[in-house]
Amino acid sequence: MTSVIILASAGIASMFAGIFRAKNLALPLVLMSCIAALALIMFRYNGGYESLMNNMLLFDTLSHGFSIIMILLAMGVLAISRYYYRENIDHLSDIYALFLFSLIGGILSVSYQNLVMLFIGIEALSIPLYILAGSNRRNLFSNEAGLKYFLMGSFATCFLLLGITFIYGTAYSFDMTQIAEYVQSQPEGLPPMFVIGCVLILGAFIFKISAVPFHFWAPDVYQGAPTVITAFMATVVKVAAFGALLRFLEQTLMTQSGIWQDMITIVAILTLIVGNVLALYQQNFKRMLAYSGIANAGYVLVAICATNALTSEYILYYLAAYGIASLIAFAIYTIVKEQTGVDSIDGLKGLFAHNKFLGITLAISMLSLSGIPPMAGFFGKYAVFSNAIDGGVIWPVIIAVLTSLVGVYYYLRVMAISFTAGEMPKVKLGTGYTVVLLVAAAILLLLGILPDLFTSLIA
Amino acid sequence: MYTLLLILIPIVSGFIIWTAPQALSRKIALISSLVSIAMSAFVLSQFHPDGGVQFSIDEPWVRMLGIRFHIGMDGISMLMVLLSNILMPFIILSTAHDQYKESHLLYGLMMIMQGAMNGVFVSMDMFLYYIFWELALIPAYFLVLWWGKGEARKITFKFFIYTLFGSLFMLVAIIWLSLQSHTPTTDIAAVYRLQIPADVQGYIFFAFMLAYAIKIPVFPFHTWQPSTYTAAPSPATMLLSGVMLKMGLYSIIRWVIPVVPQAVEQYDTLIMVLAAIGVLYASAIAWMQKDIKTLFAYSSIAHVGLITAGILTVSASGLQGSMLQMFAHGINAVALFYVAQILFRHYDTHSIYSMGGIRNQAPLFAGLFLVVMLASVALPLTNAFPGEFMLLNAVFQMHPWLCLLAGSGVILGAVYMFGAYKHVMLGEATGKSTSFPEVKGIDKYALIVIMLLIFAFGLFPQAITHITEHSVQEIILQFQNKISATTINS
Repeated sequence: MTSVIILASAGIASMFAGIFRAKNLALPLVLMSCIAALALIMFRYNGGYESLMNNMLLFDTLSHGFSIIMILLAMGVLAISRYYYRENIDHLSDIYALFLFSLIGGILSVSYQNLVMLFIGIEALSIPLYILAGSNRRNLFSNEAGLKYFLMGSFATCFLLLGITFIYGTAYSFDMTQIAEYVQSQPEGLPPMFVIGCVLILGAFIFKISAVPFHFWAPDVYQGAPTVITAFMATVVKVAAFGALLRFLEQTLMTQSGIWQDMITIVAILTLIVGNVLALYQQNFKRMLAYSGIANAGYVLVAICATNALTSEYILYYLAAYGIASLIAFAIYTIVKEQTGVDSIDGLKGLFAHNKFLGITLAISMLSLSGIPPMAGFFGKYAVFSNAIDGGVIWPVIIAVLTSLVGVYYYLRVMAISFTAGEMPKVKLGTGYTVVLLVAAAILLLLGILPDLFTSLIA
Repeated sequence: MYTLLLILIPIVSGFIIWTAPQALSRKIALISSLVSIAMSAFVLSQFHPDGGVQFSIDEPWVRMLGIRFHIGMDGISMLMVLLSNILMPFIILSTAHDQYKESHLLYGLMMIMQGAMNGVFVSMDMFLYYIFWELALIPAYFLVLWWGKGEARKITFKFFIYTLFGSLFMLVAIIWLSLQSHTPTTDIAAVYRLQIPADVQGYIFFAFMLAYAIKIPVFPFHTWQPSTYTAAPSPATMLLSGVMLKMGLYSIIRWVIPVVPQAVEQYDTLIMVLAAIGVLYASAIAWMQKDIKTLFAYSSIAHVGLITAGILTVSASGLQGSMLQMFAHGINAVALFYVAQILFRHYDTHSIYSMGGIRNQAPLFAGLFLVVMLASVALPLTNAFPGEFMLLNAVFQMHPWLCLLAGSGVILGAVYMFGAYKHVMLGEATGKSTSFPEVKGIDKYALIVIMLLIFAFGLFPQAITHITEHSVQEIILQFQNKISATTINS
């Protein structure tokens, strides 16, 4: 909880820094607060539970693991945003503050123990993003992205609220433990209203993780929003939404897999097919990454359909590998876009020939996303598939394997194009950029070679 | 520890080459490959060919999935590692007169590929094995992409997607196998112990065989191979044909025959028929080839087809023959592509119609090429003869008619090889041929050493069979035990 307070106060302080014209202080302040929060979570946590505010919040293994990954990813996004916003710094400190508020929303939505808290978490996560997505006011696409995200997000919020209401109407409680008890006490079947409530809540989650059929907003919003914001949405928000979904399923509906298992399986298969196949046809790099984000949600969903005690660890590993690799891709996209002005994949021509470092990090990221050893992405896929097969889910895994081959096709295309000859000026990178790319690439390799490291850090 | 060094020496030197100045890269690569040879010679001298796995390292790696870092060598692994290490210096020497852009990257990737392939041969854990299997593919991909000729991007795409397609099904099979023990494990001993129900064995068999049939390649999964071999830079072609395709053949022996014996018994004829068709088909196409590199690529398909058929007989003669022939094919393939590269350097093309009459200009080169050619059509006294004989013998004992099919491929081999030789070497020298320089310096000595190797292993095949004999018997024993166990149960 202290870490949330630190982050919140740093966010407020950052806004004041804007008022007092100390904008250059904002980024160090924000980053320091992230490090402090991270350190607090990692060192104060020793396998116990921390229940807060009448059991509204519960900091346990799951929430700690997800929080650590989210803060790390957010730090990466913040570090590259310095370069992204180096000329246009009108509202820089406000933007950083919004990032932090959204991050807090993410932490709350993986630590909730009460459905009201889930709602607060998801809203705190989303509302800053509605603003951020439209923060590039002079760009039509950014405005479109902001509005679209807001409208679609409101629908999801309606689903969520309605679902919570239905569940309250049958179980007479917002509290997760009491809902779980209620579920246990109905061996002969749950009332339809409760089931409808669950389905509605799951629908909201499907929207947030941008899985099919509620994925339509993602490509447009990702493409239109400023790239740093897109990176944040594609990584931190996705991790948060999956954390919340896992918590909801694990704590309330574990014993009632009949309600959600088929639904999640169908959604997973559709997401895999639609995400991967549509990504094939994308010329715009950012749009391709959006579809890749949709597709990757599908792999995680495959693991969720076979949920058992080990799942959350594997899923977190998978999400970390996906998030870090995507972060690299978005960072490189930003650079290429600024240098050449082209936002299609073909704009990557000559990247390797003229910028070896960028070419190699992009290759590592793409290899990891396509699940080639020894990158982290491979082990993530292995763990997720292994978990699914262990849970008896064979066919979705085979579909996932086939679609991951499609994935290899479009990721490798990016890599192959970046290795073909072409003109591109040599880019001078800022320190933040270099550090983020270097660390991210190193983590992808290290986690791939020593996966046990991850579990010993997180659990 | 020795085993680990055999993997690490090439990989570490690969990274050293990347950071060292470009002028030194070939020297470092050569020195490292010589160190690897010395190392493997030393390991061989310490090796007891008694069928056991030696020089093992067995450490836990990923605890929650029961994955261990388990490497070690039995006779079969030993021979494969020897092959890859012996070939490496020749491959590096063959580039001595060529200029490659960013050559430090080229040599670095080659060394890493060698390390990964050694890793495939010594892995005694399925997961580790799969990691090395894919790891070997990445350098190959970049080698063809960055230094390849013509439509390299399209060709590498096909190559990569094709091979990965096969591997992914193997991955699913590996995961499934790992979950069949009480606690998840991918260790070889645990996998060998499994009694897999007969109806599932078929799925596992095809999941594995698809990966290997593509890698080897077996007809009809070969379509990626000729274009990739032709487009790839010469050292990459040598690595692919000399060592990488042996990964597939080796894996059938290591991971298919002892794990799913019933399925092997059930489906071996199918694969053998495909392999035999491949022998004939590839030979027929090779006959029509005008591009010498493509011709050698198709001849490679024909040779490995016969090896595949021999392995699937699961007989002592078939497996031992495959050992001999894998070793021989490695040396001969590198020699053939070496010759092709020397020709290409002068003519700037691989078309045999622009060549001719070289014999008069370069008699020594013509003689060396003749030896390589004779070896590749398996004339007695050359290294390919004992292996090919044993393979045909094994196939004959199982299906005489298949032996007839595959055997006629061997005759066709002589036809197209000598046809090519005639076009390239004999006749009147015209055009560029009049100025063809005699082979000299590094090329000369490298080819002479290859020639010596060809005769040495042709005259003393027992040097190879001695290493592998007991390990092959272990595999056959494992196979037969499982088959008899299931017949008793039923």
